Amino acid sequence: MAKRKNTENCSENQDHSSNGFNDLPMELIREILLRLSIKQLGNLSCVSKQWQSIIYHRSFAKFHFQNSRFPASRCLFVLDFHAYAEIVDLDSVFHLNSDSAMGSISLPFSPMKRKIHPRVHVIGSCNGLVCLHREPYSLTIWNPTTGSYKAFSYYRHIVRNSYPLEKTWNCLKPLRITLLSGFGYDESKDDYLVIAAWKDKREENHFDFYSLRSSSWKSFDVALPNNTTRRRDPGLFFNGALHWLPEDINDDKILVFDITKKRFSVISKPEKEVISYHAKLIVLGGCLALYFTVKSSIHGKIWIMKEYKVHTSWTLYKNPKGLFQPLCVSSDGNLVGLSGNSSLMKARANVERELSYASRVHVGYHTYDDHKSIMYTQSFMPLPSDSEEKKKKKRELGQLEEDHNEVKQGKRRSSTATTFESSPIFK
Amino acid sequence: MGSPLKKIMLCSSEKEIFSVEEQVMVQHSVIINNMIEDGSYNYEESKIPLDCVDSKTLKKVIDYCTYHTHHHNDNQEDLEAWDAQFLNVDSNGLYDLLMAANYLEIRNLLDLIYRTIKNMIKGKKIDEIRRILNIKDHGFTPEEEEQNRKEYPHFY
Repeated sequence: MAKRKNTENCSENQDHSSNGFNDLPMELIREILLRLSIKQLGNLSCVSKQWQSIIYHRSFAKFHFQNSRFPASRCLFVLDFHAYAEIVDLDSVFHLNSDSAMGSISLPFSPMKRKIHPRVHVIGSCNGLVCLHREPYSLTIWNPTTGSYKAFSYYRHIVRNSYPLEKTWNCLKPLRITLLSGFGYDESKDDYLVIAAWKDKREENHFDFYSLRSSSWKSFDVALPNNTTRRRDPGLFFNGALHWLPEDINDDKILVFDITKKRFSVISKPEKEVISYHAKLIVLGGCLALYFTVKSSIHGKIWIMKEYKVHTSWTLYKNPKGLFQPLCVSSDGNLVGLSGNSSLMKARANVERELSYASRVHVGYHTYDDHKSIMYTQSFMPLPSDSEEKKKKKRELGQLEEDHNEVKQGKRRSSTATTFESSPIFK
Repeated sequence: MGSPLKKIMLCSSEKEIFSVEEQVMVQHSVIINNMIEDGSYNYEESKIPLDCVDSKTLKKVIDYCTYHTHHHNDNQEDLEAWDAQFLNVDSNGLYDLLMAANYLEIRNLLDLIYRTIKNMIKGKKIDEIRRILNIKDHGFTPEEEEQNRKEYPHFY
């Protein structure tokens, strides 16, 4: 084995008392900072110039995110006709003093002159960024933690050329003109993509993506698989790939598109030919999971694919009572999910994989609508389009957390004046 | 790997020589493990010079490695209690230990120190963190510092 370079950090060893820990090599300070939470890092950037430059270095955000031990634990709820969204920290919302676990955040849209705001739906999230769809044809990639965002339209590229797949215009699904849609991350190019498969007026298929890095629509070199049926729900981004549930009950295949490898594949559902309702793909405890209800029972089924793409690893969790749509596995190992229309519930699984309910929290707004909620992780991840790192905005984060404490549940809901701004852009 | 009874010599910045069981250091320090494995250590005459580690710190590092070699089967709670006691030092002592652990690449000690420092600064205000870590020169101009304090008074 080769000998390691071991003389580098060896100078001026006696003199450190002059400036304490500021004399530590950058990489050691970085190691310490990587262990702190996003919430902490916002104000630590004021400790010293050196710390600031470490925290705001582009690679730090990425590294911090990748090393974060806690998976997505925040849920964003978009409400109809409001200029703000609600955020719940699902890890701490069940604790006794959980005031800071809930708060409102302004959506990244410029204020409207009209009082009624267009409907907003959620397309997906990855690496702490959330993709929103605003009626009629606008998409926004947004980091709720730092406040940076980028908005663009798909009207010119898709809508005016497309074949109307759905004539009922009161159908309020996002990107209703697409065969497939989704938001994900291309690791090979360090780029975020909004994916849209659609039919043009001659009924020819297109398989396109919007690249956040180049701010333009492009086409994939790969063709859609034959007979790709329409999937109304945007794909779930997991393991570098988008996953779409079939809508046809005779189709038991989950369609998968690996964004980095640009390859389609399929995953078979655990049960065949089951007429299911409210089916949803989710990530539970780092595994792909499927939730649905069946006609014969109001109780949902939760299937977790313990090993990715291993069919025999689909594991069923039974839900003996009530409505419970899981959102995530909390840091204490319990399932957290939606229950009824305005509450969150924590459920424990016993050895027979039967769920029992541990606790419940009322949030005071509708949580159950489709495309209205999304799990995301807090991250400093900049958008590829951010011209330079916006230091100030990151620091606003500390402010955000403070404000969470001030904005109490009831008070917040009575008037939008008490909501807080996530970043100075909207002031 | 050498036999467990073999001893190696470590030499501090004050040129003080410490004789340690080879196994103790090989198990913990990546650098020393590499030196033994590639044969660059001669048991008859060489001593490993550690010019940036003073005697006080080196003694502590050896204590840590020795304890963890002989007590690795102890229960987790006891080990953690021992670690906490071991790191009950002032910030200069912690700094020296961190530099030494980094130099010798003692991964579990490094991790322990990182965690300790993290807990020291977690939830603290900036002035406190500067005092705890003895950071006197923060590098901001007086104007920048004033600006920060004005803008984020609750951080300080």
